[in-house]
Amino acid sequence: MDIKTVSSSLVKDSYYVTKHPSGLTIFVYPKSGYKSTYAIIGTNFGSVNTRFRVNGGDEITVPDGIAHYLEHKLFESEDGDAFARYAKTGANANAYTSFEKTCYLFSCTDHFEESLEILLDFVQSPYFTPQTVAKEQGIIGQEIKMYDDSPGWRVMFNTLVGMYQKHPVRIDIAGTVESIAEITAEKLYDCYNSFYNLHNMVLCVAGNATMEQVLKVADRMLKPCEEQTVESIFEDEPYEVGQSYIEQTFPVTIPMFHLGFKENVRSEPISSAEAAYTDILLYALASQSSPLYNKLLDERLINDSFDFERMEGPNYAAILFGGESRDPQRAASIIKEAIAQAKRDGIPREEFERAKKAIYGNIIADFNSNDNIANVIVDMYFENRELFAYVDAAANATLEDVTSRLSDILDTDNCTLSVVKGEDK
Amino acid sequence: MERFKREKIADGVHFNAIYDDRFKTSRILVSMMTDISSERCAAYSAVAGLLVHSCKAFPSFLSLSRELDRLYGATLSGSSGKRGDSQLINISAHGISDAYSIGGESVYEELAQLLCGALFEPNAADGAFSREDFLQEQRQLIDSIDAQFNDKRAYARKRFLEVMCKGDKYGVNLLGTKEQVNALTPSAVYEAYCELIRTARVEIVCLTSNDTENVKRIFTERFAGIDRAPRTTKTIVVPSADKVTEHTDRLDVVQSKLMLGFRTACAEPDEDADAVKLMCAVLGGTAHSKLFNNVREKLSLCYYCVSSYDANKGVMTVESGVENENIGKTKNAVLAELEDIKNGKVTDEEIESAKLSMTNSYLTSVDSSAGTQAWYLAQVFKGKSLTPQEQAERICRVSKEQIVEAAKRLTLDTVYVLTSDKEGE
Repeated sequence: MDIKTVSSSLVKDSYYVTKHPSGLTIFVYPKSGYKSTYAIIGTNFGSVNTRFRVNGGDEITVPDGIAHYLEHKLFESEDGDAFARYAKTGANANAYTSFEKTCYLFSCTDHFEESLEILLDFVQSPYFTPQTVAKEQGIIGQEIKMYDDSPGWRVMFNTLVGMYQKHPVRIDIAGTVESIAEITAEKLYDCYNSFYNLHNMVLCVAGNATMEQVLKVADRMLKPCEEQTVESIFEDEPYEVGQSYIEQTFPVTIPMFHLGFKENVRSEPISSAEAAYTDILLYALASQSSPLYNKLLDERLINDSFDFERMEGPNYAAILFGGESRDPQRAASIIKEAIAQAKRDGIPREEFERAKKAIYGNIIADFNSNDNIANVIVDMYFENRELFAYVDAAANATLEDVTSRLSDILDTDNCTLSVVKGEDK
Repeated sequence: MERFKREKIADGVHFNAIYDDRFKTSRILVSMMTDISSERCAAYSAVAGLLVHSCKAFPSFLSLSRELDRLYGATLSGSSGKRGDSQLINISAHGISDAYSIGGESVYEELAQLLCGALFEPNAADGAFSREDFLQEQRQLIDSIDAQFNDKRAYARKRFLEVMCKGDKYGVNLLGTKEQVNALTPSAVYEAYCELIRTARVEIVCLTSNDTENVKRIFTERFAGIDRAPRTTKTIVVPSADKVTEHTDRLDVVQSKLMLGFRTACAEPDEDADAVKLMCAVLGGTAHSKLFNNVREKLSLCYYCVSSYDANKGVMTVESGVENENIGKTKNAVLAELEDIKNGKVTDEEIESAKLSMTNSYLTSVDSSAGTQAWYLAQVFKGKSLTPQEQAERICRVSKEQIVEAAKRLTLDTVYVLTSDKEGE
């Protein structure tokens, strides 16, 4: 088994990566002096993967929210649930489902190998029965309703609903109370057998651990998997957004908004370097030191809740700006003007230099935390990017690299403004 | 490795140096503690914002943000929070360690100077903050008050505290009321700032792998110029509730929020606080607690049902999000679990797993730079210098009898419900 060492002279760290004979890709990022260890295993199966085909076979369609439902149910095995097993090691365990992946994780300061054993065991031991599946309806139903009361969550999802006409990224990650009622043990097994194949998964361990320790457990616990191809099926998504404005009334006293710019779908995710350039560009454009942010502040249109992010997954990518605002329309129009200006005149060199330095510092700070490191490695693995290549690209970016990104993104004629506001009095 | 050193540098002012070479960043925090005053808290919250949004050397938000970019995207942040009946006004700086600057320049000392400038040389003249800055801060405070209403889980928590601790400093909303914020003036806030610098107990916590002597000297010289008259603060612990207050707020929410507030008859520095902490973890502090296993997993009533203990005030809270018709059932289920503990129905496994889990979170918390800083700040406020390991050992020494005793001392004080149900329970 070949173990590759990846080092960064900027970060002054190294990590190790290998492809285990079972099919699982394993990353280990040791942190000297740390007492705790964070481990995360992820599969390339998220809420958008509701139509798929295995090894070129028949198309399988599953209910909305099933990836998240499966995440909840995988914790139960025939001989009890994983939380009860973790209770004996002291590890703090959790899991989450996003649009494009499902991840299971824990952090611990003692009994690392036992906890890793539990993690690798339960993700390989599905146990779904009509009774255990039925029990979860009430719990997840309340989880869905909890998010329904969160205006921040609603305003973000409504942006996706406005931007996307067909793509399942417009559907809530947990599905709806109605869609999850259709979930059965059999459908959960269909998903499990299609996506929870070790070749389709990645394990990352960061902190107080070595590759030798991880491999010792992996060798014992991982059952070799036959490689298979899973192809997710997405309806053709038009380039254009479905709605340029979407609004929801909600019991709020200060309105919230998101302005989402839909991108053209590419066959491959953006590269490590493109991701770094995009981060520098967005920082130059909209961070607290940008003319845009300060104009919005001076005009009393935003407060420190204002933020921005780029999101990307299979067949979708978008950039979102948003926060609380008394006048979302006016804020959105100023953001669009600033983007149009940047596209016309470029980014001033001093703003680029500032943004580059700040992004570099922010990246360095992220390497303080085991969970940050491991989460980013897993994210990047599924997007075909590499952490240290991203750092190098950020440190060596030129103004031309960064402005070149502008031609692909932030089309001011293709965006959705989502607003959550109180009822008009 | 880490080293902790505490020194008095002025009347009521201590400089706490933590040398730690594991992190890639340095953090300097100035924490000012004063009694909660419903008349002054809004002004203090305004001070926390004003001090970090501009200063004499960088008299606009834009110029200060650009200076922070120059220091590799360092951050300068202000916050206001509670510690028992005290208000903490925290001003802090966070930036990369010198070893990671690209040109080898020192970032840390410049950042310390900037923080000092922000604290001692605000953008003010003639006994008043800059009017423009003040108006911006005032507007953002009003936005923050409105935003407290937006998120319904957060709103329920805030309302619950107002109901349970009515007439008590601990129940005061630190942002103040809109009327109070509207009544603020640039000179009134400046006066509050001067009062704070003169009378607050001050703890400076500097966490770095660089030298701390110079930074200590900078702060020592600055504080030497202040005519210090520190005041002591005090927290009143209400030992028990003499009756149960039931309060329902009605709003258009999708899911009802239930909050139960208990008096624990015990707060730090009382040694018994450790037993309350462990009892609270056994009840509902982990994913293998009684509330998780029974109210969520067995009864499927909710997605979250968690207990938390504020050891500074001696209040324990249980919160959950449920269907309207399940409010009464959930409340009874929570009280039944508590009754079990009082009757000694606690297994060794439940106790052991709660101990392991708490040990794990204590030890993990200091693997982050923010966690390390917060740990030592909490210690100095308590007048202790326990390491996480020592605190964990104390928890592990708590017996089953002490857990039962801690549960028996609890009295239910308040049942708060936020619901859309017009009929009530």
